[in-house]
Amino acid sequence: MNDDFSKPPPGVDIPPDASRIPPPPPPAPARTSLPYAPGTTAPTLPASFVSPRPLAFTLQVIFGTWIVLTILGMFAVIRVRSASTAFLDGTGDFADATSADDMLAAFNLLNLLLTLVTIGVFVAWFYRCYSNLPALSNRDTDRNKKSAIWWWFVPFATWVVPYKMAQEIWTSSREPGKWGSRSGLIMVWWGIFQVSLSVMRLVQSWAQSAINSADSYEVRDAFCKPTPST
Amino acid sequence: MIAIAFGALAAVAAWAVVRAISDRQEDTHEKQLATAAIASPS
Repeated sequence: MNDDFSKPPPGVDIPPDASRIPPPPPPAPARTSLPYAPGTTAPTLPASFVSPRPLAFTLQVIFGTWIVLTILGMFAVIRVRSASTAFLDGTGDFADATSADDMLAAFNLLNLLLTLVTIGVFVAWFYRCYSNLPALSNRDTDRNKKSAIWWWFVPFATWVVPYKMAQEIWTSSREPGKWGSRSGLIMVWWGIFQVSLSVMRLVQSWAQSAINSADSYEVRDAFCKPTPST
Repeated sequence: MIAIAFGALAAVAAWAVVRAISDRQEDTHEKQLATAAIASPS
């Protein structure tokens, strides 16, 4: 009987390197719903991490609503413009112009309410994300946690500081030692956000100056036209 | 009209940022849970 297993039995040819082939790995255990190793319990979670997902979901719904409202607002503006032009030309109806104006006023009110809700939820989400940083990256934040709220409302500083904090949220939302670089997406968003705010202020100032220096004679003439006798 | 269009664009960009940051934090947190589970067998 051959007890020497280091050599092949006589008559069996084995390639010289076959004995070096490692055995196949054992099959991977079936993945359970939680990524805990067998025999372990749920770890103690960092107490300060709170998921930002619920607020993020709310914000995404709000932004979606905002975009729909924006499209409706464009129609409202176009309608007011055409109705008021027609009225001033004498080809349109006063009731049409009034109805278009009422619709635009309702849109503006809705827009204002949605803007206030957006500001509230967005700042709450921002604060939540900033407060999570010590739990995620195991290092202190550059600024006080509560400043993630009030820096948004400080004149002039609001142009720079919230952007820096957003970049800090991005870079520090990684495990210690894996902190990333600044995000291009945040840069693009901040640029668009600032440009849109500037355009909005510019348009508001144009509208105000147009109201102040409106050709009131034109409006007066339109209202004082003799009504056709029936 | 231009202001409205820019506002919509800003809303889309903000939507993307909110999603990216939230996903990043959740992803890191899940990795921390997995690491902690391996490091602390009962």
